[in-house]
Amino acid sequence: MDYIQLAFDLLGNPWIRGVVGLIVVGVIFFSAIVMVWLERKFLGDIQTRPGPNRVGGRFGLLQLVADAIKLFTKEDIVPENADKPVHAGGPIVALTSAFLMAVAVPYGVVSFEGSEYLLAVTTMDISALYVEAVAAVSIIALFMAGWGSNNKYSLLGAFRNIARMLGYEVPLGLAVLSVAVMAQSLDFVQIVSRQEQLAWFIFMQPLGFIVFGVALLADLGRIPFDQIEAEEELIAGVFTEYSSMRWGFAFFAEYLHAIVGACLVVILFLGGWSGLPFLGTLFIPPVLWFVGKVFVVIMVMIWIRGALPRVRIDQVTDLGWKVLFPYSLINLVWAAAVAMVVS
Amino acid sequence: MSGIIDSFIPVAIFLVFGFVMPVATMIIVKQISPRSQAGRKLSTYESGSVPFGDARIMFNVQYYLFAIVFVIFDVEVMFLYPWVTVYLGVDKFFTTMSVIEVVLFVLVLFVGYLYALKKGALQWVK
Amino acid sequence: MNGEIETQINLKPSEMLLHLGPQHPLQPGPFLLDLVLEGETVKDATLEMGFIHKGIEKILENRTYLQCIPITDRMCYLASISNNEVFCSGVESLMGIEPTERAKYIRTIMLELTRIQSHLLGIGEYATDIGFLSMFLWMIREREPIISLLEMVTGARLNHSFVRFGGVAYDLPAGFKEKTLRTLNEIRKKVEKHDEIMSRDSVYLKRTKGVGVLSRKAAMELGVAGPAMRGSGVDYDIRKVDPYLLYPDLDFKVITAPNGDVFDRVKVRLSEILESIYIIEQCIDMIPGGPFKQGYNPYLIKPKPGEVYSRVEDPRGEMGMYIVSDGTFKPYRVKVRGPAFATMQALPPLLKGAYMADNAAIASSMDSCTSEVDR
Repeated sequence: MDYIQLAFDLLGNPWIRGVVGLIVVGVIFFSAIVMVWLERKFLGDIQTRPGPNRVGGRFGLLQLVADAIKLFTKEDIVPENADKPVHAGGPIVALTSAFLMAVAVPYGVVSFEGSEYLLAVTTMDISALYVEAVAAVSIIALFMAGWGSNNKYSLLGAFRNIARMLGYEVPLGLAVLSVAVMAQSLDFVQIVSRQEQLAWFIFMQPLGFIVFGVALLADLGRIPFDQIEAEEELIAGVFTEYSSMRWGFAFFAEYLHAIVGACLVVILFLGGWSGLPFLGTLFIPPVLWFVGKVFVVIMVMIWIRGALPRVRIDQVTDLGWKVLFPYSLINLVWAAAVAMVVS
Repeated sequence: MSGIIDSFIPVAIFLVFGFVMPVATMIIVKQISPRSQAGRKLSTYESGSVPFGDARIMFNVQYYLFAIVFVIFDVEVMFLYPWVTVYLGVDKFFTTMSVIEVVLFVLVLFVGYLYALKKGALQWVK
Repeated sequence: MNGEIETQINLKPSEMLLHLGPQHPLQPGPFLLDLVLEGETVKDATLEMGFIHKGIEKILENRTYLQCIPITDRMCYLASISNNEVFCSGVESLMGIEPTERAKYIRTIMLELTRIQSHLLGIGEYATDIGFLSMFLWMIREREPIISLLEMVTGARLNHSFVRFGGVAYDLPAGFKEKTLRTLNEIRKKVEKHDEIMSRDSVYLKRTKGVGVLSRKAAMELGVAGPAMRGSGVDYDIRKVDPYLLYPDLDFKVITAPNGDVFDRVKVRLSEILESIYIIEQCIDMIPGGPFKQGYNPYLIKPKPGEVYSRVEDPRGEMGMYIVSDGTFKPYRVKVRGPAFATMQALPPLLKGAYMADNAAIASSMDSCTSEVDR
């Protein structure tokens, strides 16, 4: 028992916690693989086809491993006209931005001998702001990829990406702000404990949830907002000139962003690792609650992908600026009013 | 103060890792991946045609307008962040005043938003 | 490559010339679309075709009449029965014969089945082009039983070579009627469901309503054919204008839609599927007995000298063939007038001023077949 106590004490040291926290990278990479598999399988169900079913048994469990091996052993081609450092930097920045997002996300609490320990690599009092800031770095990553490739499709994709992301950062920021107004804190831990006290914020501000959900989907660039890599228009968009593991990084960064995005939805609006309202935790550990909710959010994202066609780029910016932005302002006022009444 | 630095030490570790890991992976990939000597392998892809002209054209001013509007409103959001943590602070008077101030602040910017909307700065140019 | 086109264009600094093609995911086959883009807007579009020219007209001159039939399949694999039909009916009128009654029924049913499967695939491809992958796979699923029906009769899934002079190659197999009726019933239900999705889904409506409008006048001037033309409100269908086989006696409507936008063109195709099912259901109960082909020796077809223009309503519009016979075993000249060429040449004027993103929706809503364009 003392050893465990000692381990917890050691983890109090930020250096040790940072290095040990790299496990999170592994876990999140693994969940990205699981998500890709889930997406292909679930989309297959929606589209009445089997999905991966050859490698690794009937359910194609090892398909992603096979894909990874393929990516690893493919030739890495950098076009001769490309701006090589910028071209190489794009996916790396995207991946790093996903890692940095994952640092500040708390994944639950574990109880040990009466005291509760937070499962997070680091805690900070501005984690909501921090995560939003590092998430925005991926705009630059995609633009680096598009500009560095010196390919017309890539560049069009990069332009689209800028126009789209700019339109959605503001509503996204305002939605996070509304949550922070209710919780009176920018700390994820505080936000979750506030939801345990009051109610899930999805019930307190449904409008904010919708704004955040749509803006997040747009920020992640998933269908119906995948204009930057619309295959029938721009081949593979900003990643047209990428191959091998370079492309793999970009691909993984996308899914890592999606997973961390799902975590954010859960933390900000679905009560984080707390149990169901009225029913409580039902003897299920908080971490599992968290994972379960993230799973549900991811499934909904895949479901949306299967059910909707792609929106046109001008309609996307219109939606961001002319619909979501006013709504997010209304929601902010609503959240402030509710917060004043509640306190 | 040390608390803030403590909470950002893991961030620094992740930052370093985020740059080292992909670079290391790419070095490994370079070692194990095949190299083909096919001609024109490195040329830019454009649906099988030879690209005409440079991809790096002048920006459409449209994107620039979006960016300016974005900067204005994102800064607005940034100003609101410190406010949310303190507005329910000391006493009733403080709270009322800070809420009124912010409502005025948001209103002024909303007028600016309407102006931008009216001027067509948020309209995708056909 | 494409030197002439490129030197003619003076680009402004903010414009770029983008080649779409010959290898681009948008395209059903290789062709080159040069777009001058300013931002996301298409300023100018030029079309270049001929990447897979197969010389089918010339090949037909060097084959006996029977050998020609499999070649006509290859013009467009989605409409091989119509292509057989237009050639065979032309040769039949040169020979002065009529198909037998039973063959007329079988041919009509096969033509309509072909139309259904071609439209299903056309809508599916169009759906992927607007990023609606699920709809594509649903359409493929719906198309599969139709292909099986065609395979059951002709023995082939795509290139059927089924129609013969004065008849068809094989008789209907046992159990065809029941299987067809069952399949069509299911497909009608599913197509009605997809129709509902495609007329209700707000994202889809936003993408398609008022996009790529081809006015009635422009459609007629450009000679656009088939559903693309009927989508612009032109009431023109060879099955009504110049009826062949059983069509004079059948009860069916020519589907039109008033607006000429992407939505309407696809809507026309969806409704035509339902109309084709209705046509088949009329025919299939009344198939008479008797021989399914005339007693000619197909190897010794030798029409009298003369010329003929025969035409049928292909899934994509008016498919015509001008056949000249000089009284030998081989046709002297065959000229094909395909619908897809006219449809495709309507693209540049339609794309001008459209968004880059609509380009995909517009191009694939025309449902043209590069293989047939290049023949």
